[in-house]
Amino acid sequence: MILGEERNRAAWWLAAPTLLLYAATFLVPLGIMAVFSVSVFDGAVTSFGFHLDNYANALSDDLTRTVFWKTVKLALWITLACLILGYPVALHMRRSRPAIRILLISLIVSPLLTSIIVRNVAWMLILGRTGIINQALLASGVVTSPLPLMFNELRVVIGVVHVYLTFMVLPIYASLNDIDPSLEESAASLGASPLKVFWNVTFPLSLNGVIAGCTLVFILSMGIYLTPVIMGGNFVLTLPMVITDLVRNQYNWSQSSALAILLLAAIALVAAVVALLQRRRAMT
Amino acid sequence: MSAVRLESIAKSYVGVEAVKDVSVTVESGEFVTFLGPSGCGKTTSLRMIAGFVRPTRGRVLIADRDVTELPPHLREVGLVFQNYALFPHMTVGDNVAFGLKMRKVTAAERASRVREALDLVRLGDMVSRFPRQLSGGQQQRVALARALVIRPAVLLLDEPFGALDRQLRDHMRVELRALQQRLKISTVFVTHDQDEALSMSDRIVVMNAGRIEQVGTPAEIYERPRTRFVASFMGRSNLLSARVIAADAASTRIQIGALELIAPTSALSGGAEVTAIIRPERIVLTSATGSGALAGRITAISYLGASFEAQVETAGTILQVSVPNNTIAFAERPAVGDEVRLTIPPDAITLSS
Amino acid sequence: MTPADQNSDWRRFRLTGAVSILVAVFLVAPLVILVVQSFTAESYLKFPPPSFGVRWYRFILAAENWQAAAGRSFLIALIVAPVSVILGTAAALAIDRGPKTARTALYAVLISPMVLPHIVLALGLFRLALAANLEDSYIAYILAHLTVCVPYVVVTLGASLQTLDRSLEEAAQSLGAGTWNVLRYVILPRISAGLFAGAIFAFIESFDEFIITFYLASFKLTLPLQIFATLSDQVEPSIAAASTLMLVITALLTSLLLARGQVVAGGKAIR
Repeated sequence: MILGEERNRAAWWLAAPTLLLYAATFLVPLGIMAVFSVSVFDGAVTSFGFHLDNYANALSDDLTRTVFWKTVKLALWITLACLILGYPVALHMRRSRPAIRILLISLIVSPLLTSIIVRNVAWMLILGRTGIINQALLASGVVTSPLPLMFNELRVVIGVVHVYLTFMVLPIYASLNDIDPSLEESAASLGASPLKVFWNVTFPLSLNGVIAGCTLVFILSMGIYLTPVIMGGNFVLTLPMVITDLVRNQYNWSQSSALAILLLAAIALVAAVVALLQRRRAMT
Repeated sequence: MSAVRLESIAKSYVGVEAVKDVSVTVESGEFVTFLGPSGCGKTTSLRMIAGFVRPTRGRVLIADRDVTELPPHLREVGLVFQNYALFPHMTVGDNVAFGLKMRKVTAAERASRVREALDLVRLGDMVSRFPRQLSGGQQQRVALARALVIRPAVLLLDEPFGALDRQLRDHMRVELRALQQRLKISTVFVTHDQDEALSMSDRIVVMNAGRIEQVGTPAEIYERPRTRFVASFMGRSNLLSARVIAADAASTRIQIGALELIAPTSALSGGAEVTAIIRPERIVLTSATGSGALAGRITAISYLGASFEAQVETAGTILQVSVPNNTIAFAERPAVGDEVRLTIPPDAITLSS
Repeated sequence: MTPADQNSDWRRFRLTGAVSILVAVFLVAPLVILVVQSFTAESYLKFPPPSFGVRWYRFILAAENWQAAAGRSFLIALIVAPVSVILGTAAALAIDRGPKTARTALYAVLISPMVLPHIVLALGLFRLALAANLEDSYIAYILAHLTVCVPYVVVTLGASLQTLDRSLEEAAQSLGAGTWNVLRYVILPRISAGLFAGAIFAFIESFDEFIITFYLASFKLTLPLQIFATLSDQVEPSIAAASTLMLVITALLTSLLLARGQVVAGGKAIR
């Protein structure tokens, strides 16, 4: 069934164990979460049924709304930072000689191969309350106490960019690589300066990769937990953090499930909108 | 017992009929070539014999056994690919031994049969080399040994020499044919190269657009093409519209424009419209002072080294003529505008209706 | 290009080069600083360390909780890696050899744990584990890790399978090899590099996994969790030493891949 040119449906059975695993570890839990999300928790007991209180609360409650939009804002900043840093690197990777390219690819891929806890510890030792920068600033007397809120968010952005830059650079690099150099060459021969070539030919043709990278980084950044916990100095609150607190400290499965589903829904919405936009772009 | 029999096999893919209705018998010990342009269905037919393609209709028989429903690994065929398909991670010896291993032949017997097969293709001392250490021609010979060692009912070769350079190809043709005749192994050979087909085959199956155009010996195919396609595919031909003037037991008189020619006997009657197929090299051309039934004039000429390709106008008709480059017929090189004399022997003409 | 154009082109190359160097430093420097700080002989973290020593390495290698955590991480990863390879390779074969129609959809589903927020996976798995009385258990850890590791294998093997020369399989079949023998003698040997890379990626992802394990765990901590627990308590150099050890282990495994040129291929495959 897996040999020969006639493609066989029977081959799909090979994916069955994995799909079964996913069903058990993702689909079933999702169902359970859905059930919990429409239940009510009074602080001690969960009553099941079909109550939309949790969703109503989430959408109307000021704190929840604030946290949600803060999470979105944070994700946007992270995406922007990744784009600004990542695009030039992808460009450079494309034009540099093979040895440099391999070095850069290895460096860019390395965050995938190190634990998020390790990277956060490393940054904490630099940017944290007792980290290098604060120690230096305190020692030189520039400040008398560790730095305020604005820098908490900056620290989180730095920490997350560190981990998710890969997901921006790789798609952009891939789409840059797919560009036929003769297109840029013919633009140049028609009189376009390198900057114009980039703006009119290279960048538009790399847009698919840019969109893919931004979408991926944005979606991933909506789900950050550890980095804001470690780098946020107790002042940065994200939706995942709220969810975690609800579950582990308050045992409130109802509310947390609803929030998790809302998070999923928001991400699915973003992915769907992007996919739609991409399809329309492909048709014009 | 026939080695391979294809009974009205056909293969359709979505929207495309790759093979329309093919029936061929390959006798035991025969070398049969499927010849045709790309897309004619020759490779698909071969792959139906091998079992990699399931016929939409018809039956495939190998050694008189119906194998149509049988998967490839249970058919007793030996396959040789154009890209050799040697297992890169195995030594030459292990490659050749693979089929024997699948048939659970003991290690000792495997070793001796592998040795034997490699000696046949004169690569006996390459047993422990890896394919990447061998040249293209050597790899092809290993592929051959690997297919032969299992003593298949039929040897199938899919354009095996396509990746080799000219000289090597010519050499391999001779070697393969000699080997095949020595072992008396039934062989089906697929190619688009007519020289290969002509030089190696006992019989040629000419295919076009999924159908068989003609089956015959190389001489029959070349000298007696039965359709316009075969005539134009094999070498160059003059394809002329003619009308039968009269036919009797001895000959057929035809008219091509103002030209009257005598062709061999046929079943045609007066007035019939036919195509006269005349091979350029069968027309005998001499200088104006030589002997020749018809008068003509050279209107164009190309120098091809071993021959000249000339266009000769006679009685209002232009004929392609191939003139050997020796001084027998012409004292000096023929040139445009030369007056010449031609002879077209009756048996140089084939009539096709 | 005019000389002015050539200049601006060159300047642009230098600009992207500068950013690349900046990013490279950005990615590497923190880890270097971490490693350096781990060798402090003091009982607090300071850069540069006033004095050097392996005191903290000795500490975590001797401490029972650190030993247990490291042991758990290794045990789980050693189980998850081969099982991921088996599941992921089968899934990759299903995509590669199955009908073309549902291919993209099937691939998307099989890759999904890679792009879904792990916090959602963690929440769901925790709830399920609670219901099944499996929280803080190895079974839960392993199933959770498999879910996030298999996609890496699917991606890596997917790339490997695409490079296969089908005529080798046909040759084997013509010589009498059925499906199993073709797999054993032709396909698996040809994808052995991909299998190795997949196993390494799966091991590393399991070894490094944090958030889902964090949700599932109460007392059975893995190495990343132990680092976090210590960090939450007080910031001491043991977390630097443990983190460095984790780095070294994954670096060693990665270098095994680099030796076979797989990191670049893997990185390209993951896009």
